[in-house]
Amino acid sequence: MRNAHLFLAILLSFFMSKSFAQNFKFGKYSPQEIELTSVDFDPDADAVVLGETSSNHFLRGFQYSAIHRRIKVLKESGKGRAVVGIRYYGSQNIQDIIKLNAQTINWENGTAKIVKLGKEDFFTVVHADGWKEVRFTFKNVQEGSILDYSYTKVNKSIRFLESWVFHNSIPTIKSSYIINIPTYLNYNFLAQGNQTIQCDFKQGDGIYKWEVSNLRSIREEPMISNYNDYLEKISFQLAGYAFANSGTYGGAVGFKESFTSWQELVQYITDSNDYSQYLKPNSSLLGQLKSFIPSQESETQKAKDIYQYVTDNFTFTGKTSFWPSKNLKAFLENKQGERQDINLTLLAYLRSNGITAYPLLISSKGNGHSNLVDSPFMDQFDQLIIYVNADSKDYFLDATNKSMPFGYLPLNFHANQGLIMREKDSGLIPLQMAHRSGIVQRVDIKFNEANNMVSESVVRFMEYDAITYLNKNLADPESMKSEILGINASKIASFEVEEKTEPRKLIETKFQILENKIDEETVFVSPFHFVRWSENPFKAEVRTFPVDFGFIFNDNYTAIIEIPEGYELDDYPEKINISIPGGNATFLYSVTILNNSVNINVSINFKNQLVSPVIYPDLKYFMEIITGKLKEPVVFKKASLP
Amino acid sequence: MFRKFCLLASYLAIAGIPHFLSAQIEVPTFSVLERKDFIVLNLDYSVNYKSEYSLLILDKRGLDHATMKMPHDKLNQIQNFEATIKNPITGKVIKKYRLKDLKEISYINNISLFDDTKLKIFELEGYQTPIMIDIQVERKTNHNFLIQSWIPVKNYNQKLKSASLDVQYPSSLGIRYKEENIDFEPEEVKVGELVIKKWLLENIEPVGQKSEEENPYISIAPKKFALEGYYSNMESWDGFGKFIGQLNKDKDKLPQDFKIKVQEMISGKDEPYEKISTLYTYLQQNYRYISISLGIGGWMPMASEDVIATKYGECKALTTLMKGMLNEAGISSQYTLVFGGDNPPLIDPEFPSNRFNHAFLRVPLEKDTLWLECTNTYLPAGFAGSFTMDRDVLVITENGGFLDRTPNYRTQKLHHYKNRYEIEMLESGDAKLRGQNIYQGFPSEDLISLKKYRSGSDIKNYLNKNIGGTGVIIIDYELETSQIREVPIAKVSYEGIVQRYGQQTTKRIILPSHWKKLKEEMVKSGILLWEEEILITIPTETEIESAPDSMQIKNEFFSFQVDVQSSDKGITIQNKLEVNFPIDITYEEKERLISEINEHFLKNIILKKI
Repeated sequence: MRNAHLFLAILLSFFMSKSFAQNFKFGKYSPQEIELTSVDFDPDADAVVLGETSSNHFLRGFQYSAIHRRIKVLKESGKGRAVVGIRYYGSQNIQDIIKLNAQTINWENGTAKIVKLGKEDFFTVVHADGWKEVRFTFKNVQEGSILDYSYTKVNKSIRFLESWVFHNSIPTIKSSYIINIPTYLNYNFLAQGNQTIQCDFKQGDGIYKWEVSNLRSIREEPMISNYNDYLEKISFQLAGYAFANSGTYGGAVGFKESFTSWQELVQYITDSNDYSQYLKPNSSLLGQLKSFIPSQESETQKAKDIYQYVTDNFTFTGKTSFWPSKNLKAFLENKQGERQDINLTLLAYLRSNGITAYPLLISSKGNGHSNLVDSPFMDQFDQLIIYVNADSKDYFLDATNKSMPFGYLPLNFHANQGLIMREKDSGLIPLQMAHRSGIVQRVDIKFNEANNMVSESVVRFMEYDAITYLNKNLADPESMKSEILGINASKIASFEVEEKTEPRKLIETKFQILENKIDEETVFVSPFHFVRWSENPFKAEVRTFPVDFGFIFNDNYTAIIEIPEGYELDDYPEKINISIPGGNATFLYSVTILNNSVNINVSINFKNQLVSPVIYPDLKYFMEIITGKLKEPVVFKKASLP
Repeated sequence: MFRKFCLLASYLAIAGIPHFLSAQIEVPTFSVLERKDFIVLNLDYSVNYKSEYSLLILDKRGLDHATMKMPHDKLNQIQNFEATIKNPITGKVIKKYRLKDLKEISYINNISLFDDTKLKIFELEGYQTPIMIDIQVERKTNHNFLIQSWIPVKNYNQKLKSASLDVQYPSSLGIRYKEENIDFEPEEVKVGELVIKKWLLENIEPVGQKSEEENPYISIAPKKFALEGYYSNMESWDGFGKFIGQLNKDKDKLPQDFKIKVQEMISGKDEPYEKISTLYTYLQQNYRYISISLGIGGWMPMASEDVIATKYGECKALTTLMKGMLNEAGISSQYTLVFGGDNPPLIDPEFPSNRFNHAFLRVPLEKDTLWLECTNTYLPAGFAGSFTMDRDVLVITENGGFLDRTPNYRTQKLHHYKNRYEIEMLESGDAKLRGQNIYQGFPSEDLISLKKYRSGSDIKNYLNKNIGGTGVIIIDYELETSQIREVPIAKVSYEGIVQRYGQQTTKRIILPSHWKKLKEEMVKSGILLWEEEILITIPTETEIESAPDSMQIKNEFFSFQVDVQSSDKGITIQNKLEVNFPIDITYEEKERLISEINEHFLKNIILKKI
């Protein structure tokens, strides 16, 4: 199956060196390129990458990436591609951009008219946090113009090479990555995507080349989290290097292999000074940590107290990495830092109270590694959280958000696996986060003496459904009311909200709605004032990427409708029991008639938060049925007089 | 866009102008500020700014009250910066910062490709509160075209202990000022040729985010002024106009071969609108909006000659080129300054000052005036859209300038929907759909832009979402765009299906009598004409149990008319909604009326299964 292939990623290792050449040259244009007016595999495209290469070599410990990209403007709207921004990490000159060339080529009566950009046309923008960007725009851009540009990116940091993504936001006819690895270096690489994996990449003598062709443009869709998993991409990580240490008596030469196992990688990280302070605080720091005394006895209660203390007392700057931005001492002093600083501090507090806790690296959704490769490849991870075992139960914690209750993680952190960083036996472990999220609703519809319809609802938002509101700061009565019943909700007689944390997080809302007096011949009663989706969120006919609902859930709605005085039950919605192919989502709607009431029971169950694009049309129809069905009325008719 | 104004706007926005909260609610104090500001205008038109702040931060949420972002470029220099962080209890100095310690980043907006202004940034990071900060800043601008407004309290939850402002200027230069929420006259001191005006504010309690009244501030504007060797007097709009006129001088001159091209394009066209439309379309198709803002380039347009060579330019340049082309075609037009976007600042006709961030073109014709938005690439000539509508603008004439107002576009021809749906109900509960929707004026903008910029699948998705109610899947469509003079029109004919049209019970099928809901964005201007015709063919095994009666509702804000005709085979419903909300309608009232109109749409058609 296509998707299974796309998820595949392989990891290999290689060596060796020498020079290489390429035949895609700046300023030389083929007749096919000149004549091209549309792309057969993406006919809507308004511009196309005719070709791009990244040619890489190492010199005096630096990596040089010579990048050349050629774009053709196919339609007037494609002229927007003529603005280019090249970002690089310019802090301490870790990266730099040199040898910039750019030109527009137009053909007028068969003759090429070239407009080159000069030095004055390239601008350097300084962003915050050490990032810089070279910006420029091509001149005299018209429909049919070719935009050709090249530059070299110099990279001082060669432990992790920059990944190359073959996809672009416009279709790509050909994209190549070539690397020449000298004998003193050894890299592991991680190939992602069907074409990249299948490349015959060994060119001999330390030269490796991946070339992919005819890639469609990648566009974002609603409810998608793992878009990056689908990109054709190649990543590198240093696996070892040759060294010659003249400082040692008699000198020493050899080859240092880095990261042959998860444990080695973990060791490399945790041995750093800043890390070790969090993991093994000295006695003075330990004294500081112990000055906070949890009020409760059990491990779980202690862990909850500590979690609360850390979320209350330390401020998250919004930045994230897995290298601490400061050591424990500094962090305890100024009380604000990055995610890893906060979480490692949480770990230090937990450990100082005798609770088992380890750092856990994960790849959050959108980071492009939903399925981790079980090989010590650091580039897969982007977040550090904490694994805790308290009273023999596992918890996964991130202490950066005060409104996130103990034991819950942000939805984009719901990964399948993570790297647990122990003193020994580090490796990938599954992240099992048991929760029973969903919306439970009970509606009682009665008719008062004046024959006004009175509808009383209790709606409970369980676990992640509650957290969704809490994180958006929508859990106060006014916001909940407008979220649930709309801004203009009239006829609301009362509305209450209650938040509960034990044993599980939930928000309970209770509201009463007074309808008009009923006196018509036929009365239509739609029982549910609130449903998870008021209308089908899916409008597109087809879809490229899976739909991600964020978390699994089980909704249960019950309505008990009293048959009004002087009326009889005439009609009601038909029962239904359907599921999407594969059975990962089900919808059950049933009606029970009792003596003087009608009971409606609804269950909506999503067993897997991801729905494959292959069954998207079924999902769309399924959702259309749910949203339509939940609006269907029960019909009462005036009872005929005896 | 005009860079320098944007820059100033963002510089002020960083601080914001907090408002007073109603007195009942007590607002916590995150910081207490004492400040002294000095503005000195020099005879060479340069301006020195000196500020001394003493800020006591009590709560960590007030740490960003110390943040300063200061522009630094050819026109603005920061001469000195010193900040001393102290323990407020012991008085012990914790740290000192100098100018060299400040971070520097580029001034980045989403409008310009590049702007040569840099921002020097001072931020407090990693300090515990309470903390005391003393800051001294000295800056200089080499012009007095823009003089910084004085906004003594820039943060919510900030208490102002005292704030003084001294403005010193040579009497030969003069200044103008406008006080807001300050009810006393400044003290005036004269020293020879120099005049010093002094304001002092004390003990202003902190304000929270929800506000009703505005905080005190003083807008300051020059009389005689100069920027990079261009001089004028801003006491009148005419003087302001003269200055812009100097910057624009000769920028609209066209090269000879291009003049010939213009003549070729308009050859055989007699009507002025026809000529304007032809040249405007040429501009739209061949020139891109790109803003590169270097020095005075933030104010002065690129020369038309350069725009023609590069095929791009900023708003000023594209407007100037269009003006040049019209001039060649014998049509006179005026370069015009405007504040583009939502919530334009109010312009006080009696206080000329720069309140603009954008340029476009005014073309007076015999019977009406056209406004050309020269950065737009797809709308008809003369339809400038919501970006510049209904606001005061400064029209630059040959020798000066004057204020004019753009149209508010409150006319039905610019807010017209006409939808016709043919729906054939199927036994499965789905339906076949055919139809034609005509969007005129503002409602057509999305489709015209989609047609130009997006793929067929994007257009289908848009239609699925917007054509009618829920469940639509368009299989085939044809989208035509056209115009009646300046009014844009999009006409789309389509075929598709509707998944789960209406609702089913055991005995009945319930269908909507109005397929689409009224949404706020459809009545943004308060005017709407919406005609809808639905032809429903019902399955043979059903009969009509009930249908809404034909009816007509009319009140001062809207009228709604429904005409229902039914037969054995089906039903034809014609709906007509005309909305005419008052210009000054409140948000709440609008929401209430929308909801009332939607209530009228809720009537159902009930089919009974036989």
